[in-house]
Amino acid sequence: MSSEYIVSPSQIEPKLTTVWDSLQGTGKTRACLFNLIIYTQNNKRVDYLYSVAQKVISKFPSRVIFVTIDEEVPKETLKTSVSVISSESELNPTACDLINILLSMQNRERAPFMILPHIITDLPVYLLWADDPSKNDPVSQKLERLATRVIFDSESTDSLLCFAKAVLNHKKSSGSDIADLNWARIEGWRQLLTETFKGADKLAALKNLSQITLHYNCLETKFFCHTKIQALYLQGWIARQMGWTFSASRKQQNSSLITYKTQDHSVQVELKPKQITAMAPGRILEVDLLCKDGELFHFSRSQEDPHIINIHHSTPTLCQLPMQFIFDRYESGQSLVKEIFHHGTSSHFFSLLQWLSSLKGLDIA
Amino acid sequence: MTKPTPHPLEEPGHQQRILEPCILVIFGATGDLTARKLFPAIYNLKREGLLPTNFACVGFARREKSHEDFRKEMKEAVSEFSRVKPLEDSVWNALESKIYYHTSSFDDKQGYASFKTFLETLDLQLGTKGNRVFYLSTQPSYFPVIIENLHLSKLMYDFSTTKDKWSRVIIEKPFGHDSDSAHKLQTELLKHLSEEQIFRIDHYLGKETVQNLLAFRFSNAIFESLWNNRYIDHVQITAAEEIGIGTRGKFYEEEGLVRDFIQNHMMQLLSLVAMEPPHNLSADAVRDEKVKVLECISPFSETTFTTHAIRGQYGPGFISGESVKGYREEENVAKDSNVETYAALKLFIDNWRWDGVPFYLRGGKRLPKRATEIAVVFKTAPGKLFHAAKANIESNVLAIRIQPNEGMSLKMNCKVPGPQNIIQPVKMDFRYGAFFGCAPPEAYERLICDCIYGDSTLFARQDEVFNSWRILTPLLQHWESEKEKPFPNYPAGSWGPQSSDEFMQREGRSWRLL
Repeated sequence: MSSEYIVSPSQIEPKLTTVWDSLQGTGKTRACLFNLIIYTQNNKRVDYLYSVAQKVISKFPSRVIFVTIDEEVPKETLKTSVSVISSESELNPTACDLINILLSMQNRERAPFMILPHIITDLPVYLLWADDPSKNDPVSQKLERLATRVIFDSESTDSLLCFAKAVLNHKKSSGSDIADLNWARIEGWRQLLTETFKGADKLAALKNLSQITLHYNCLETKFFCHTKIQALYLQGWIARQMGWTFSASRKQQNSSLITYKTQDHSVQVELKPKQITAMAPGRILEVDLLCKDGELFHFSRSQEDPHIINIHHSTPTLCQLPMQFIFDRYESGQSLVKEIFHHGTSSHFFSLLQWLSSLKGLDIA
Repeated sequence: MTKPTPHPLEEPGHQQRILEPCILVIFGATGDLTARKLFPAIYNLKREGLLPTNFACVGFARREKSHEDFRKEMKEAVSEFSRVKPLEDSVWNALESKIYYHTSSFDDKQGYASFKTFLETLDLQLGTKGNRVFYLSTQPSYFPVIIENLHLSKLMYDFSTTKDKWSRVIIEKPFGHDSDSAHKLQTELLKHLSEEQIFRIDHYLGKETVQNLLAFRFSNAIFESLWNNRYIDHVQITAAEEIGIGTRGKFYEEEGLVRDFIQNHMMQLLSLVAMEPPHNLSADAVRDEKVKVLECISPFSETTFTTHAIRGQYGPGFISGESVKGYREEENVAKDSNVETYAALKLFIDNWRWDGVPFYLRGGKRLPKRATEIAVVFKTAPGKLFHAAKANIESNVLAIRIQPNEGMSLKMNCKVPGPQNIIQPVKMDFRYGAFFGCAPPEAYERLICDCIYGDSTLFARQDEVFNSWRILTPLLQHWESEKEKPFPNYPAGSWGPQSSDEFMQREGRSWRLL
C-alpha cells in the first residue's frame, strides 16, 4: 500500500492521479474491474473489513471506497484520504485505488454524495454493507440503489431470523442482487457435500439421513462473536434443499438441537461448539451425517491445514479408505469474489433466507 | 425425452461443476509429458479443489517401478514443473496416497488382467465407482493396441449399454500422419469405442485466451458486425517458438512443423476465428460450426502448392545472443534432411462471410521469440480525407495474443496534438495479467478436468481432424515428393526465410513484426 494522503473531497481524483504518476516505473498497473463500496460504523471490525478488501483486490482489482461512520468523532468530522493498494503477492502487477471517507454520525447522510463522483463509469458497483440490515440506516436505501449487488454480513446481526427478513426487504426495495459473507464462507462445504452426494446411490443415502452433527469453532475474537451462523446456514441449506419441515428446536447444555421431519422419518440436527484457537471463529470443524441404516459420512477439517477436509465413509459392512477434499486457499476473499462477481444472487441462498424468515419457533439463532 | 431430475444440492450456474469419482490412468507414465505437464496439472487441480474427492491416478508403463518410486519421481517433477511453487506438502500428501503405478507392456494381456483386478480393488477402497479416464500419453502406434487390450480385458465399457459407469480415452496428437492414416486410426478406435468416449487433446484449446475467443467474438456486438469480408482485409495467425526441436529430432524427422503445429493448433485457431455463432455452447454446437469453416477450405492443389505455401528450415544462428545450431546439426536429424521447421500458408474460406479474405498461417521453430497471435487486419478507412495531408494512415489491427502476455490490443489512428493534421497509430491494450492478476491455469488442468466432467467442447472431434488433414495432406505429399530443397534457408533467430517475406510483398502485405 502506498502512503495515505489526506485530501479535501474535491482533491480525491487529482491526488490519485499524482500518486499514480509517482508510481510510474515501479511495474504496477492501475486496474479496476468493479467498484467496491464498503460501508460500516466505526467498530472493531474495520480492520477485518480492510483485510477482506485486500483479499478481494488480490484476485480482482477494484476501486475500493471505504466509508466509516464514527459516533465518537466531533460532529463536523468529514475526512477523506486516498492511497494505492496492491496485492500481497509481489508477482501480481496490479494495484488499485483506495478512497477512505470518515464521517461523523451527524454527517452520515452525506455519504452517498461523497461516493457518487468517484464511481467508475460502466463498471459494476458492489456494496459491502457491514452493519446489521435490520437497523434502519437512512443511508442504506440510497447506496443500495447505486449497487449492482449488496453483500451483507450476518456477523453484524444478533438474530439470524431478523437478518433474513431484513435482507429480503432490502432486496425487494432495491432490486439488487444479494449475498452474505457467511454464506460465502460455507461455499466449500456446500461444494463438498454436493459432490459427495452426487449419484443415485448417494442421493438415496442423503434422503435417509437421520442424524446430522455439526461442530463449529465457538472461539470469539474482536471481529467475530456470532460463531454459530455458518453451522446454522449449512444445516438449513441441507434441510431446505431436501424439503424437510422444521419441527422443533431447543438449546441444551452444550449444544443446540433442531428436529426436522421428512416424508417418512425425522432428522435430528445437533450443533456442537468446540473452541480451537488456531482456526478462524465460526468455521465448521466437523460434520457427521448418519443414515438410518448406519451408513456414516464423517468430514473433519485438518487442524494442520484448515483448507483440507478429511472424509471417512463407512457402512455397517464396508469402510472406504479416507479421502481429502481441498477448499479454496483464501476463503474469505476468494469465495466472496466467487459469490459476488461471477454469479447473480444464489437461488439457494435466496430460498434459504425465505425459509428462515418464515420459521417460527427456531429459538437458537 | 424427459429431463433428468436436478440434484437437490446442486445449484445450476452457480456452483463449481460437480465431478464424478474416477480413476485416471496414464499410459506411458514414465514419459516427459507425464512429468512436465500431466502431474503438475493434477497437483494444481487438487490444490484448487477441482479434482473429484474419490479419485486416484495410476501410472501404466513398461518400466519396472514400485508405487513408492513413482510417487517420489512425480513429487520431484511437480516440484520442478508446477506453475505454483513451492510444492505445498499438505496438498501433495493428500494426493500422494492416491497415486499408484502398474508395470506392464502395452501389449501384454496378462498385464491388463492384473490391472483390471487392481483397479477394481481401488474402486472398493476409494469409492471410485468404476469410472475411468485413460490418458494415452504414448506413441500413436500404440493407440490401437492399448484400446484393444482395454476392450478385451473389459476395462473399456460399451458407451451405448453401460449407464452406471463410464470410461473415456484422452488421445494425444498427432492423430494420424496424413488423411489416410487418420481415417485408419479412427476405424481402429471405433472398433471398441464410440466417438463420445474419445477426447483428442489439443492443449491450445485449453488456453484461457483461446477459450476467450468465443466470449470475445460472440458477447461483444461491436466486433461481430465488422467480422466479415466487407471490413477485414486479411487475418494473420502466427505461432512462433524460439526453441529448436531439442530432443525431438526423431519425431520431427517423421512429422515436421506442419504436422506438429499447423494441422492441429493453428487450424483450430483459424476455425475459432472464422466460425459462425453456434446456437448454444454445447460441445457439438460449437464443433459443428468449426467443422463448417474447415469444410469451406479447399485442399492444396497443383495450382496452389507454390503460390500459397512457403516452407523453411533453420540453419545455425543466434538466439538471445547465444549461438545455436542448425536443424541438420540437431540430434537424430539427417544431415540432408528436407523436413520443414517453418511454414507459411495462405488459405481461403469459401463462404459468404469470408469470400476473398486471405488467412495467413505462419509457424516456425527458432524464430526470434515465443509468440502466438491472431491478428485481424482491417481494411483502411475509405476516402482521401487524411491521405491528402500525407498522413500516416494505417489499417486497424485487432491482435489477440494467445501466449505469452495473454491479452488483446486494438491499433487505431489518432491525431497528434498540434496545429497540423498529423495522424499517428496508437494502441489500446488489454492484458489479462493487468486485470486478473493471478496466473491462468495451465491448459492441461482445464482439459483433464473437462474430460472427467465429460465435456468435449475443447477437444477436437473426428471431422475436425479429418478436414484439417484433407486440406493439408496434398501439400505434405507434394513437399515429400520434391527433390532436395536449398535448406537451411533461414538463420535461427530470424523471422523465417526471405521467400516468406517476398511472398507477402507480392500480396501487397507484410508479416507483422511481433
